[in-house]
Amino acid sequence: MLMDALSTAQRARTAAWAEEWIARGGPTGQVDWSRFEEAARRCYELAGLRWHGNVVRFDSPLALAKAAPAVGHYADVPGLTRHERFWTDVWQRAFGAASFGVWQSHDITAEVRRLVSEPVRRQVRDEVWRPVHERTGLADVVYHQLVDLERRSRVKWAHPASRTWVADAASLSFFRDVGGLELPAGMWERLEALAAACTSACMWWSTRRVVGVCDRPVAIHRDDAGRLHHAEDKAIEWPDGWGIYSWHGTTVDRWVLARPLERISAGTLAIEPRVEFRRVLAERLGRERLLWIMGATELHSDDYGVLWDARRLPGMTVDRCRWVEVVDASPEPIGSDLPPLDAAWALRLRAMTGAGPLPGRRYRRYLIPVSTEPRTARAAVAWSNRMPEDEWDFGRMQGIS
Amino acid sequence: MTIIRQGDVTLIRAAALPGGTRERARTEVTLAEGESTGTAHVASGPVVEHVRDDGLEVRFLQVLADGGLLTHTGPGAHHDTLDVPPGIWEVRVAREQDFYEGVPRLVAD
Repeated sequence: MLMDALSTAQRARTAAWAEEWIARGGPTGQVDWSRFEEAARRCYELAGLRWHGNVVRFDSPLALAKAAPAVGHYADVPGLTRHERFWTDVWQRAFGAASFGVWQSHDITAEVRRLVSEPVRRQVRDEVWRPVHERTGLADVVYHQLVDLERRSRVKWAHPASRTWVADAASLSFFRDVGGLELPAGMWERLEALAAACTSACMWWSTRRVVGVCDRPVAIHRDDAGRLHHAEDKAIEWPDGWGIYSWHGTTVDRWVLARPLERISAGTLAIEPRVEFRRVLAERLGRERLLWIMGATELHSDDYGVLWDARRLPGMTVDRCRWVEVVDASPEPIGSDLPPLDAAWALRLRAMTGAGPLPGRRYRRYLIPVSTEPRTARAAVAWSNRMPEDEWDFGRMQGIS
Repeated sequence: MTIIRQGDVTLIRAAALPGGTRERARTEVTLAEGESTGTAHVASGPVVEHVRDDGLEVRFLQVLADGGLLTHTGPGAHHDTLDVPPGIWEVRVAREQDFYEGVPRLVAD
């Protein structure tokens, strides 16, 4: 019998459930190779495929990617690829059965997906494995060979980045263990075999005669929002030293993080063609240093913020650079290392929210790049919010956060 | 004119739903997503999203009864949840100037 609504107690378990599956989707440390091979063998058997017993281990996703073309000739299988048969026979049959049995309750499905699947999907697939997948491809022309091979010889990637398996598994297991879901015989076995294969090691691909699988990362560093992040070193790294540098979820080259702040100039920002690199460099510099190296001067200030002006840099198409500096209405999380607001900014916060800073809490000031049309800070904020200046009035705001 | 503002999303009270709109979503409406932050501004409750697409998309949020909420979701979400009273609200997402392209672009925190 399925639940038709989440109880308070069940809802209270969703956050921890999501956390557990987030951890399962991004494991580090020693791989249990025998567990992986056993799980891979079960996947083959459950998909009705002969287990070849050939498992080739690699130290990193990049090594795995480079090796794929070498085994492409093993994958000359007509019809469905081996990989596709995995997902069709192993996963989809389990998930399809669950769809039939569980997802009929639309409201509860949506709620469980929102509370369990979505956090897992975002943290595991979007924040960790997608950047790795993209970096693996961008780092090597092998990526293009892989795309071609996927079409010609039907080698497919089998790794968490390309699938939402872990997010679906999280909500399915929630229905099973918390909601008492029962599926036809063998369905949970399929799901668990695939989950075991994916969580016991790392990325892997499968062909008719061989499975390629790579080691787990030795470390994964995230920020408070769960995004890949390390201010100085690789945010994720494998035993062979390959990894990626990431600043709050933005993948960058090593120099973007390694260059000392005193060697980042306006010229550095001017000649860097990649907008995401420029943004990270600007964030590393911080608000005050960015304004300083740009030679910015204050044009105007009022209750709404401060309007700054600077000459443009080479490569820019605007006449001047303008920013309006504002303060966030919502405080930073407790424990923030931001300095307290000074008197002028505390007054601006009061004008905006009707109250001064909460005791012990910190508030972020930030810069919004704006057009050169606005002549006042208020006009600039109104421009950013696509409102006429005279209508952007704190007195009109019924709610603000 | 009444305004509700949550980060980079602004709701502006409208007198009525203009003509030429079509319904796009109900119950849970994502008004903006931050590409770099992974957060989203989501309206939920007895809400309906209407859009008018005549070259430049204009969005409206219709709150049918009490219980409409505007929530900042996702990892790192930090804006407080706000009540959205019943009525018609035009949805506007903030913009910033792109110094390199020379044009404004939409942003969301």
